[in-house]
Amino acid sequence: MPLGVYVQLLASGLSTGSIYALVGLGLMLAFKGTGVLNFAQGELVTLGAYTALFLSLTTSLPYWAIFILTILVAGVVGIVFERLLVRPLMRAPEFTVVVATLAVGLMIKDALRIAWQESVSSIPSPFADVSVRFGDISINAQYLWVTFCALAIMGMLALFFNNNLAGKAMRAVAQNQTAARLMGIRVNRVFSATFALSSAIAALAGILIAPIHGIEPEMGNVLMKGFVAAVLGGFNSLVGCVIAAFMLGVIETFGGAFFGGLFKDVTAFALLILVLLVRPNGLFGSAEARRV
Amino acid sequence: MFRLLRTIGPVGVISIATLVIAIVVQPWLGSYFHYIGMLALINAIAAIGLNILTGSAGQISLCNSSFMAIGAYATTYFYTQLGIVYWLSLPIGAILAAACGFILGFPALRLRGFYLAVVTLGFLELTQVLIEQLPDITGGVRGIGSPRPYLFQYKLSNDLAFYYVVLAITLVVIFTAVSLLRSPTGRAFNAIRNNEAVAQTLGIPVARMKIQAFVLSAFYAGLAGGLYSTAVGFIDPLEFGLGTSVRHVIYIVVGGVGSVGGSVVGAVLLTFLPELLRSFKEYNDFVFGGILLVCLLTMPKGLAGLLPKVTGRLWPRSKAVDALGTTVKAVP
Repeated sequence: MPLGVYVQLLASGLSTGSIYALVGLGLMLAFKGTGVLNFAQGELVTLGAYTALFLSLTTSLPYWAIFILTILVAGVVGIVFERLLVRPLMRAPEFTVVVATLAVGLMIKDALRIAWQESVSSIPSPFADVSVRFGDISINAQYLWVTFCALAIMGMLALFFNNNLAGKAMRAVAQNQTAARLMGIRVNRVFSATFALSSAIAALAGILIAPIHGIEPEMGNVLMKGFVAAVLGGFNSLVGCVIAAFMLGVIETFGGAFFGGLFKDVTAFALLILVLLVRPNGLFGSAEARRV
Repeated sequence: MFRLLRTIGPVGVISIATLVIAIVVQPWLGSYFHYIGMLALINAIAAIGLNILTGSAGQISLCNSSFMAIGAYATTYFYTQLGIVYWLSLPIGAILAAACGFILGFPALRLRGFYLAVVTLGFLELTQVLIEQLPDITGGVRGIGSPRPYLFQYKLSNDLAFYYVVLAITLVVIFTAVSLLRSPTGRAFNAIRNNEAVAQTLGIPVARMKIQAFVLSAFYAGLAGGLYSTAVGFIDPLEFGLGTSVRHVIYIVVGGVGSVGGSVVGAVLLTFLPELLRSFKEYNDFVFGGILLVCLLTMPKGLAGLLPKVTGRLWPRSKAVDALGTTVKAVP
């Protein structure tokens, strides 16, 4: 096979991995911040994509404006989601959290299906029809744009958590809510901000994936891949999650190209089981003490 | 007469009345009711299966519909492709599902809570993919037909006839599940759900019991799947997706987590409800999700939890009083 095909597969794999990374980061942020693992995160991705679709159909705004507006709307959605669903669930048993977030996810999916029917649509992207050439090799610019966005988000989050006061407050709340409250941090606001951020990242994934895979109610199925990325990354490291997601995306794409679709679909689950059995704290995580 | 009623208790009276309706009144209802009745009972079996694993042993499972799928496809394959007698194919399907439960039980042993939910969700997606990718056995996304079996040269093509078969199997399932949950095994499940560490110190082999819960739960779900394929006559992967698993969770949450009777009531009620409210048909997932949320937030013990409150008024029992004069609660 010519070198160009390998490079194209790599670009495609990295862009797929970037989407997984964004979903995984959103899950991880919310889980670390509030202790609620959000099984409706996939539907937040779908919701973001449909928001962008709605904006592009009703207004004549350019891609950039839609891009930013959608992320802002998603932030508000995240705040509402946190107030209505997450906060009552914060102290509930894990079973209740899983089932309630799943139920809300199904409701969102069903509402979107009723509103838009099954048709697959897309939003125009300035990158979708452009290809970047390196000598003989050409790569779709959307792939590069997706990968760039995921890396940029990771970098911004890292800066935010290390240097920004609000970011440090979020980390404090994740470590110990009571202590954080005693230090004068408004814990409830931090919860809202966490979910606003998580939902905005999910919506970003939705906008980015739309020109590649199209917008349809089932696109929330990417949730599972996000879980795998977060688990492989150890559920507590930004870089770990992104590296794991890239790995998963590249393995899936190459595996799918060489061994067929079955291999591609089984990879994620096999990796998940393997990592949970061999290294339960992820490839990059550190062991955590558990209170009995 | 009154004394007899008191000895049977409120639950007994309700069960007997329901059973009489299920056996005697059903033939007079339309054939549509025979069909829905079958589905309701099959859902009840699946819910009982999930209830053993999630309600009793406390292990979150989102792949109950996958075990159902394994039972459904295996039964269909053995019956139609290999030509094995249906009454043998059905248990073989359930046993195969139980074997998959056994295999899934091992990774699940080391996991709890959210991680277990994620792994069972992964297993669900894996089964979906396998069904789609192995069209030689499963018919792929186009689905596969599953004909009705013969019982002593008599073909059960009539819905009412097959309804009675399903009813008989359901009664056996209810009886075995109730006995199981009252046995030391059931009490061990309860102990594991309440506190794993304490259960371990009490000498309960936690790992073995958890695997047992997975196997039993998968067996019942597989049985439900085998019956489902025959009752409906056609199966495709869409029938066994996440929506179905969540619906099973809804049955046990509405009926009452941990209660076999509750699972049956939840499954039967919520199978008939959307049929009665036809206009909701299109909004199925939406309505079910709403019911689930309301139930979770307002009555965490489900309908089974409401029962003692209602019957306590209509049916006052002589209360046991201990030495200090406080009322001793009967063990449910």
